[in-house]
Amino acid sequence: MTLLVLDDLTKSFDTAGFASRNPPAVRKVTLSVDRGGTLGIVGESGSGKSTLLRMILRLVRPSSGRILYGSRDVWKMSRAELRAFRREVQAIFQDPASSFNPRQTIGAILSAPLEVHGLGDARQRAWRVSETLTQVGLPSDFIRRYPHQLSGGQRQRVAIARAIILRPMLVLADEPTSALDVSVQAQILNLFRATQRELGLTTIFVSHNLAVIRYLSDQVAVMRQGEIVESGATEIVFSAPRHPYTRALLDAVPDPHRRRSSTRATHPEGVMNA
Amino acid sequence: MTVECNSSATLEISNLSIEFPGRTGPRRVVERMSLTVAPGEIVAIIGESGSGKTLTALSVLGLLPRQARIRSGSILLKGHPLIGLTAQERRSILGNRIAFIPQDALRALNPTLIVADQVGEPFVLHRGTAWAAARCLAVELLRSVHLRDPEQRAKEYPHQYSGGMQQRAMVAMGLALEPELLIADEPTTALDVTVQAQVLALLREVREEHGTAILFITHDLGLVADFCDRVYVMYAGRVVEEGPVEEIFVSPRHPYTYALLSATPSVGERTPELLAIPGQIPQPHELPEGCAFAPRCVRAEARCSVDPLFDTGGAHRTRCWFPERRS
Repeated sequence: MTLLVLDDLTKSFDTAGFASRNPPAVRKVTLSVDRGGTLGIVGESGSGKSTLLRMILRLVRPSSGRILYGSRDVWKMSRAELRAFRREVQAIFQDPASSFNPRQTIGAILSAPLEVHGLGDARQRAWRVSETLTQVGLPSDFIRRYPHQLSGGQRQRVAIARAIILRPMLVLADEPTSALDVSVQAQILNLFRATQRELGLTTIFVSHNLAVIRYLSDQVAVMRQGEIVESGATEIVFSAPRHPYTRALLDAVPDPHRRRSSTRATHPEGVMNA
Repeated sequence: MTVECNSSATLEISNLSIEFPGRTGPRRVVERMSLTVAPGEIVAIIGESGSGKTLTALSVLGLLPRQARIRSGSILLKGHPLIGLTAQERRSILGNRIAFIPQDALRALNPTLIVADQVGEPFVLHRGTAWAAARCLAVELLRSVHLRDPEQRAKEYPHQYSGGMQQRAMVAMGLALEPELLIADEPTTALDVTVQAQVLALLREVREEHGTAILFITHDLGLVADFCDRVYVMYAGRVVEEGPVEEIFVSPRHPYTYALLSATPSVGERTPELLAIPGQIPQPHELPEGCAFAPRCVRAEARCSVDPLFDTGGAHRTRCWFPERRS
């Protein structure tokens, strides 16, 4: 069953007087995401992938086209529908350090969504906070800590906890691991996969890292200059890319696991022995 | 393969230890680091944050932060010591015999000067060339790094360049005087993958044409595999494994190197499950006794509380009590 539909979505950031000079940031994007599915959106800087994500989050209004959540247009929702939408759709950003209030404890950060939506009393909220912390692999005494006392990986765990504490339907993540070291990134990627399966989440990831997208998503859309140039099942797109841009992108990524004999430049024996 | 005869090495670092003052005493951020780069060789230092890879590079350039102290060791450029040079002696070497390409080209370029004046400056400073002639040389350098329309572009300011063009300009500036050693600190991290591929191709071309030795600092295993000849793997200030890239990626022997590879998702093939490394990278003040990786290591035993020495495995060496056997 389809959860989210993007229908002919376009966004131009036109500045008065220069309207004709700015190509649209997102152009005629049509996509759908199934319930429980994982969509990865991959593209280089300026491809429009983050703008697309912001439109789904209702942070940027599309110039034309529709975004359907369930069967409702997210820009035509009633107040009650919007409240539900904001509970069911959650986001995780690249740098949790800048998306947390540095003066709030982790406990306060995590119970804020529950308070905003009027869920539970103080005791139930405290219980849910500590349960969610355990779920993301953090000890429950972290409620008394502040964001600056945590490492990058721990902060990203808190960001995941904040996103899932409301038991959402759809989680959107913008470059969730690009600020992390490799040895910590794998922990967070695995946590992502596990929570997604346990909670039956529908997720959309945006990343420039093709390896991360391949690991996490079952559907992938490749964006370039505001347009989707190729989309489909991840394994098919990665093993048999059809669009030349996808191929170029895949070839350009250095991969420590790939046989290097063909891609690597000839070894300059002459220089080495000189 | 590797150059054992030290006098032929372009860069030779031996037993380098760097400390920072801390509340509870000095903190070792680089511990007995040794490294060589031969002419025409591309050598990588790979490590995560806090591994000491950038400090090692900065120590070669003499640009360590003021509080840092070099406790022991030597750094030789073609046999001549770089530690203890006067400011004047250092200035005559930097930009001339050693060039540096930083991660963030836009921050390294002067926003108030046109690119020609910056790329041409080494000729004026080190060779006494007149400014007009230096600008012409700058145009030629920009052409050699494949910048389109170099005559026109040379008159522009850095902010008018794209990220890839800025990094090309930095490479051009670094190559101006055909240095013996090029140090590149994450030179492509800020770039898109397709642009990264172009900049790497350019650096390879430089090495092939001029025999420049390149010391490449990175956290990206894929870059090392694709681009470098030899690699030093650093963890928490120490080299834990070193050797030819082919060998290290096919048969890593230190558990950390092995774990890093298993924790990196692949683009080329499906990864069923990533093996994450538990725990986190230690801070310099919380380093354990003995092997720094032991608390996160699956093979750790009581013996690991004593710091292991390098084995004597020739070109491919590791510092571990329980190294992976060759398959």
